[in-house]
Amino acid sequence: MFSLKEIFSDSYFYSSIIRISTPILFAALGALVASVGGAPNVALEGIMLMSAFSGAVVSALTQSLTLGIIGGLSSALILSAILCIFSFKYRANIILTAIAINILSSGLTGFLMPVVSGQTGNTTNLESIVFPQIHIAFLDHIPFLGEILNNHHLLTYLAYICVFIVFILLKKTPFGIHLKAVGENPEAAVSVGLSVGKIKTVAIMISGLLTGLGGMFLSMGYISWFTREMTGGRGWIGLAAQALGGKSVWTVTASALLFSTGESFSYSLQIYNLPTEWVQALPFAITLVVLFIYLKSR
Amino acid sequence: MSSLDESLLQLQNITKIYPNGLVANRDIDLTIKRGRVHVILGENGAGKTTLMNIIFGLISPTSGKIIYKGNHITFSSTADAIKAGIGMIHQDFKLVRTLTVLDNCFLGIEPKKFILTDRRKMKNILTRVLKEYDLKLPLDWPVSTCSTHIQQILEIVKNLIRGTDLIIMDEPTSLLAPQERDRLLDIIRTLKKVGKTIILITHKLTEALNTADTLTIMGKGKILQTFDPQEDDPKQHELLGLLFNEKPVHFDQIDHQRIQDERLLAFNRISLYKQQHTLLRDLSFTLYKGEILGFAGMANSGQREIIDIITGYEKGYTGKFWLFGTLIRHHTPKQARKMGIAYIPSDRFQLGSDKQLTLWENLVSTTLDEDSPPHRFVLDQTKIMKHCRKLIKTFHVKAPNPLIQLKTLSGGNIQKVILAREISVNAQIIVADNPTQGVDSQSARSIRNRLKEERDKGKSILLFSQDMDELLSLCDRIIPLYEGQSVTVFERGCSLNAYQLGECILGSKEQISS
Amino acid sequence: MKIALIVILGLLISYFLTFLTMIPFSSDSVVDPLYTGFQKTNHAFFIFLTSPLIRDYSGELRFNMMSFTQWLNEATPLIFTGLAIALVLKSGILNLGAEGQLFAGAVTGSLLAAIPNVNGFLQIFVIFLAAAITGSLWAILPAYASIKKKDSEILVSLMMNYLAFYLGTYLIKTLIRDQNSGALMSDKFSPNAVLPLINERYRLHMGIIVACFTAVLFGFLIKKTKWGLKIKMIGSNVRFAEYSGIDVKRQLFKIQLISGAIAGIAGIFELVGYHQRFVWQTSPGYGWDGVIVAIMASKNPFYVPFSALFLAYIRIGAQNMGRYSDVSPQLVKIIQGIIILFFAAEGLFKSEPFRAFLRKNRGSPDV
Repeated sequence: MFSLKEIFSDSYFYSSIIRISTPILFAALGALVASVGGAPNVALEGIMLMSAFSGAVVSALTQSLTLGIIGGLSSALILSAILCIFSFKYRANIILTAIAINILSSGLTGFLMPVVSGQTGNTTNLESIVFPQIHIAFLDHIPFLGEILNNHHLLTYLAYICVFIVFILLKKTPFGIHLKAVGENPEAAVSVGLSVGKIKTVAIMISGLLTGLGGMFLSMGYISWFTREMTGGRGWIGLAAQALGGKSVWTVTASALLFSTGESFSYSLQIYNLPTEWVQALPFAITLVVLFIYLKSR
Repeated sequence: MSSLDESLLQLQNITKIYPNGLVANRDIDLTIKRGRVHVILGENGAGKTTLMNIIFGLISPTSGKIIYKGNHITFSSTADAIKAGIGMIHQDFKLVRTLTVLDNCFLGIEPKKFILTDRRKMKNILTRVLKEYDLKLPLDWPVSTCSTHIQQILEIVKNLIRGTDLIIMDEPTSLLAPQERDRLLDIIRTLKKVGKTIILITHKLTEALNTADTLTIMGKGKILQTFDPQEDDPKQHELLGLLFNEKPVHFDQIDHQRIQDERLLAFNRISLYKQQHTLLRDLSFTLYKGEILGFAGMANSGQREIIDIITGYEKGYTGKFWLFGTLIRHHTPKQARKMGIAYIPSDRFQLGSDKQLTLWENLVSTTLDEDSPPHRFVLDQTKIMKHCRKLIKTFHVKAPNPLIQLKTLSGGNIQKVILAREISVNAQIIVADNPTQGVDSQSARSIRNRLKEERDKGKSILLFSQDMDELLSLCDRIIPLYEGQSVTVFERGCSLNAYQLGECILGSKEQISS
Repeated sequence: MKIALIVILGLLISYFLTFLTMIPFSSDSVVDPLYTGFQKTNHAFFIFLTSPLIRDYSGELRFNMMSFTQWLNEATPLIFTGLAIALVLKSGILNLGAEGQLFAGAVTGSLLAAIPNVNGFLQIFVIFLAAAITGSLWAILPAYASIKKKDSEILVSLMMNYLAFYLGTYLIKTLIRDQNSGALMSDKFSPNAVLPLINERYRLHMGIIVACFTAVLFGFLIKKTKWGLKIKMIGSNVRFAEYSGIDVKRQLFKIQLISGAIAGIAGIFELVGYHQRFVWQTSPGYGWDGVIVAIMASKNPFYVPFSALFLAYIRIGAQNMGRYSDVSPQLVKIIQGIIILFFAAEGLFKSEPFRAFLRKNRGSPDV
């Protein structure tokens, strides 16, 4: 029997929100950093996919988590670098370049999969290393809340730590001030001798790095292999979360949680065989409404 | 040996020629002495801003030497100039509006504690500097909430914090209220006392004379004269005479009878306020049929605003705007065209034409409306080519055929194309914004003749220009503008020369007429 | 020509990449593995580049009708979405909503196609009309956003894509789902709602003809009419367009609605003509392909069919390559990515000396 109360009183519901939000939050934070600097990064989906692939594959080939991490992050940085070179140096439209990278990433991962694993659907036959789950002892003593917050993967905790890191980066460091200047009034930045190109590049590299962490969560977390197109649009959802949340770290995080809630809720609904589309569509509809409110107010 | 009179900056033979042939600076020799306020006075197009941009490293000179603090230097970017101790405050302040005053001040040079911004140190330094110069700034306010006056002080303090020795200010008083202006001059005096050197660009004569230790007058890319007002005590009229020649230009000759009484366009007490500034103040004038009405004025005199209102780009004005006997409220550029106003803009490459399109596309761009001729939906290429060839011939445009891309044409030719288009639509009123500026003399002459011809046919032309001679030779009536007000109206037939016009637009004669 | 260079570059890079992956690991000799890799790559590329037209029937090269019809069918939706996006890009807008417009239109058309016992002609006509209108409707919000604030249409159109997918899938699931099949498919459409096929055996539907016709129509409209020139002007220099008396907002709104309509009918041919049921489990991706097609066609409607045919060709070729060789068909996506990347990079095609000259003479002539 369908019961909202049952769903909302289950701690698993909430803990899965946190779990689901990991890649979305990473992508949203990445989108935020890039957007503040005036260089929107819509290649998040592709970067996430590539890092998911590279992380899993490299860790399997080297049987080392560290090297896997390096592999995953490097591929994210390489794709980000391509984005920077083509849109800043060669003056390509940054949106189109990002779309190109998304397609490139999808193609490369699909192409290389059979090469490294012999299979075309996934890399299950590779034994890749995963990030550890972390058990925080004292949380055992806190009922309900403790269950929600405990036993997540390393990367999940890292994502939420990154929220604070990004906050500090944007608000408390000179780089954050420079980034804001470049995004809002590049002429002002030039007039004090800042290099707009350099700052935007760093911003995109950071956004790629964060997204790369999100990607590795997918293939080196609960699931220890890479599947075709396994990002499933999470990069785009991260982008939407940032669109909803604007330029503040806190609202962006809240938006990421909102989208994750929608997804978690739709899983709960599936148990009751109820249509999940409404729930899944809801966060996007909300974003749309918010975007329009913002537009109307100008 | 007094360090005060040492030459801080020397420009030798500086020339700047733009790729299109425009000579912005010609053989400039200028010496800026340390610890003095050096004012550069000149009308628009005199080359002041180009020269300052060269000093600040924004653009590089075509030839010539710059010697700063005794060393021969070449700046490849503004960062170099900043490092050398030169700072520039532009007319449009380069501030980040969403950041606080404090953050804007230290932009690019933030002190760090480990990797974090050390805001406490910033506050201490800033408070100290403010106290030293007896200035006040709201440290934690975002710049967007600060008045222009405060923003300007912020720009100055930015320079003080960076230890700038040479501060260039571009038209600093143009957007200030009188008390704020006095305050600024006080600040400049304080800066001088501590040994800073200041270059001030302005077009306001009285101000120039009051503030300057040394005054340089520029005109048409050249230095006309340099002298020290405090010592030489030049008469205003001598200076005006340098800027504007006193020869009569036959304004007293009437060569054409105006069709009087038919009013085409009128401004009735129109005012325009933006961001606490009065851009137009109770402005009234009338345009009659079959005349060329000229507007003379310096930067920020209101010319831009009048043009924008007439052509439909500015809707935020108060007062009445009459067109062909009807009161018009807030029209768009499209409606302005429909009502019979053609527009030759000063921004000819971004607004008046599209270089990526072909010549014929540029010529027919205004006839694409459903109900304007030719009425068919499909473009009649034969008719269009015929029409364009005719225009090319009549307006002496140097182009092989209408199919070429516009960007292959020279600047003067492009201006002729714009003129051809705007005249061929047969609008009753033509707004011409500096139509011959930067154009070679031959093209300029043909443009002027053409405007006269159109007037003879019964059209009316609003001519905005910085060229006094042009205004005097073309216009039937001239309205000098100063700070958003019309000073008076000169009618052809009276004796008027550039000098007298110059007096009006520089504000040395306070005559306000209705 | 730029296009040829980029395509060749894409093919070369992908060839090289394939070559690298086809080299077997062997510690015996150096030359043998290289030769094997070479052979394998050549074999794969032969299939890749020729299979839509030619098939090797044990030593004999014959015309491959099946692949050929597949090729044309595959190109059809690409022409539509390519056209839709070309129109939008030409006017300077970045409306990426073709995917959602196409999905929404396809869903509407499918729902109408499932209605039984209606006159065939009428039903087909209404299906197309409804699909086009739905597509237009889906473009309204991004169009409005683009007028209000530049570049805001990107996010709005992305949101609309998601909404189209979820809403559409829900409607198909609840209204016309085929309960018997395991996958998400709709019931067979009403037998009246059938498009005549050109070739019965291989099921080549007439979509390709309609698509080419539409492209030519719009090519004509853009190049030869007042309206087309207005669109071109808006995309080239919007300030000049407004100055010349063009109602920019109205034109932008109009073109996005038209684009939406075109995208809306993109999927109908395939569903009503070929499958005769709604078969999309996920969003088919034609909307994104439309971006590639439009860019390769330099936003010119006349070139869109060629661009779409090219893309479809390499897709089908890749599919066959995947079937008959060891190389993954995903290779084609790599080529697509490279093509867009270099196509969009304008700075690459301006020579370095010119740019150095530009740098030296910085600053505008405005004094």
